[in-house]
Formats: sequence, structure tokens, C-alpha cells
Amino acid sequence: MVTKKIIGRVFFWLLLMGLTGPTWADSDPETVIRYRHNVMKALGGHMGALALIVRGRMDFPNHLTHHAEAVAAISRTVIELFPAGSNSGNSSARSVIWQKWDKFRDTCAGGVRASEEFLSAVKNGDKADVKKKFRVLSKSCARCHRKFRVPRGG
Amino acid sequence: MGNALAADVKGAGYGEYVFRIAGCAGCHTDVENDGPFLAGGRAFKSDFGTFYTPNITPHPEHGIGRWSEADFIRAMTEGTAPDGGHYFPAFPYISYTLMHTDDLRALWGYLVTAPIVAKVNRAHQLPWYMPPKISAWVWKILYFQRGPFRERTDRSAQWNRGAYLAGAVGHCGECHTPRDLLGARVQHLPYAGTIKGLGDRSVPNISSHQTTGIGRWTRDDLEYFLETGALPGGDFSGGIMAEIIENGLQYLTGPDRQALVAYLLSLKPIKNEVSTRKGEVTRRLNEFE
Repeated sequence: MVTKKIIGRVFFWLLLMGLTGPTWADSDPETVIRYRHNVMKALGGHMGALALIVRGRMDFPNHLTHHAEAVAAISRTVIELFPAGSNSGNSSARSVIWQKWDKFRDTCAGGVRASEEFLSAVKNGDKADVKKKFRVLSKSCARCHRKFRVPRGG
Repeated sequence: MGNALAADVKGAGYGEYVFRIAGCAGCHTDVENDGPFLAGGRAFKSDFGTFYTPNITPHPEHGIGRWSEADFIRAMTEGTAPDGGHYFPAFPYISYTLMHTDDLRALWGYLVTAPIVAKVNRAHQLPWYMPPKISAWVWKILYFQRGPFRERTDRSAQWNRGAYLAGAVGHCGECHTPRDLLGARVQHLPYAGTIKGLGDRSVPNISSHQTTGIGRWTRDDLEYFLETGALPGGDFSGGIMAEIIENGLQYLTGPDRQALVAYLLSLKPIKNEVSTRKGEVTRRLNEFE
């Protein structure tokens, strides 16, 4: 009976840890911010590469899918990159993100949709649609920066 | 901007097109506080105090509802209100004075169709040594030069059109040109950027300097930026420039965009590193990568 209780409790805690996993609380805010910067830089790198291919300045059509998949995958994680308390120090995240979390979440969701639609267009191979959907995707990035990022000038 | 463009403006009237490129919505709508369209109240901090944009909806008391077209054109080209008062140059009549009358009339025709909003205007917050009426008047005496725009005969039609779009309607120099202690644009540093822009923001150097300006940008880079806000390195412009693109510049017709780009890339290179220190990171605002 006692053994069953112990096993039960151990199982409960293992289950809890498995469900919650490591949390942002395990990382200091500066590390969170640095991680976010790196992820955003990666996203920007893919977008910059895509822009050159879509605009016909680089002839790597076979790279389109790689970059589009990366953008779609990273876009899905963006909402997770902004835990509460991570706008201190070197962060460009505006406090309005947390003040208007619903709007921020909706904006992120819009970005995810745009990235998925772009990926679909890439997989379908319709060049005109690829250009059109990339423009939509670009504007979703710009919209989020306009609303939620401190301008580059400070 | 001639009437010839109207046919090329898809889905929008000529007046609305001028409105978009002139950037009225961005300043006269308090987007930060979800303010009504064109009802004013947006705050711009500067070294001279905080300026609040007025209501320019057709409200008869708080807006421009009782103005005539002539009143509007005078405000835009002379910086003078219908009651004879003088505007501070935070309202960019220094640039708008260069606009063609046809464009001003078209803009007026569009503005009078905007939804009426009964929002009371907020007085500027100025230091005690700047009594509004006198200081605006004195500033104009010292610095204001009335238009119109004069084409350069040694330049192409496209270049002149770009110069008109940048210097008059789009009033790019109002933000991108540094100002002196009295708030006048420094004439020998056109578009060279400034760390003390309106709204207390730094503004990039968009001269053709290779390292501190946009000299490494191609025409394609700049055209794409004006259309989407995408920087060559993959990042996206934020802040006021993103608004300007979203509300206005993305609607430039193809020929107008090309003209604006041709003009901007012809600007003389001016070395002026505009950066801001944020934490331990010094960011260059014209970052190519």
C-alpha cells in the first residue's frame, strides 16, 4: 500500500514535469531576449533570402521550399518567444505586447497564416501566386514590427 | 503629380492617392490610442515641446468643416490658418508649399468626404519662452520659403517627378534631414538622417553614402522597401516609417515608385552615422544586413 502510494506520487510528479517541460522560468530574462533575437534574426535571414529568389535576383528556385518551410516553422513559435517579463534590458519588444496580449496573439496568428499560405503557393509552383503570397507575408512581418517593436531608432 | 496619373491609380480616386502619399492619416490619427481616423490628437515630442496634431475631419467646430478650399490651400502652402494664425513647422507646410495646386485641390476634395468626428483639439505643450503665435510667426520669417516646386531643366522628367514626390508631397526631408537648434532643416545635409527626429526618434540617413546611407541599396531593394517595408537584410522597418509605407507609399504607382527611387538614389552621399545606443548594442539605422 505504502509502495503504491510512493509509486503513485513519483508517477504524478514525473507526469507533471513531462507535461510542463523546462520553462522560461528556468532562464534569466537576458537569455530569453538573446534567444529571441537569434530566432528573429534567423527568420529575417530566411525572409531576406526569399526576397531575393522571389524577386528573381537569385536563381535558386529549389531553395524556395527550404526557406518557406523554415519561415512557417519559426512563425509558429513566435508567440512563445514573449513570456511575461522579457521586455527589459536589450529588448526591442514594446510593452504593448503584454498590455494588449490578445491583439499581439492575433497578429502572430496572422503571420502564421500568411507563412502557411506562402508555403502552399511555393509547393503549388504558381510563380505569380508565390509573388503575391510573399508580398502578403512581408506585409504581415512589417505590420507586427510597426505595432509591437520599438523602432530601430529607439 | 499630374492628372495623367489618375488613370494609373487603381481602385482609388486621385484625391485619395494624393492623400495617401502626403501621409495625412499617419500624423492626424492617434493610432497609439486607437483614435478615430483623422481626428488628431497624436503627440509628437521634440526639443521644442510636444505637438498634438489637429482634427482635420470636416467637423464644423473642431475640424476643418468651415474651411474653404482656399483656406486649405493657404494652410498647406503658407502655413497660415483661416484666422490668420501661423502654424509651427511640425506641420510640414515647408514641404507642402511645393505642391501643385491641382494636387492640393484633389486632396481637399478627398478630405471633405472623411467621416466627421467631434474630437476637441489638444493644445501643444510648449515651454514658457515659446508663446505659440509669436514664435511660429518669427520662425516663418526666418526660415519659410514659399513654393511652388520648380523643375530642374538639367534633369529628366522622371527625376523631377521623384524630386517632387520626395520634396513636396511625401515630404521625406522633414524627417530625414537634420535640423538646427531652431528647428530649421540643415540645408547642406539633405536626407542625411538625425538622431533627434520628430517624436524623439532617430531617423536613418537615406543619402547615397555607401556605409552610413543607402548607397549599397539597388533600385530593386529600394522599390521593394517602399512597397513592403522589407530591408535588404531581411528585417522589416518598424515605427513611423512602417506606417508611412502601410498607409501611403505602398500605393505608389509603378512609375511614381520608380521616379522616387531614381531621385533618392541620385542624392549626394553624405557621411552621417545615425545610430542609437540601446543597452550594449549600438544599432545602425541604415543597416544593410
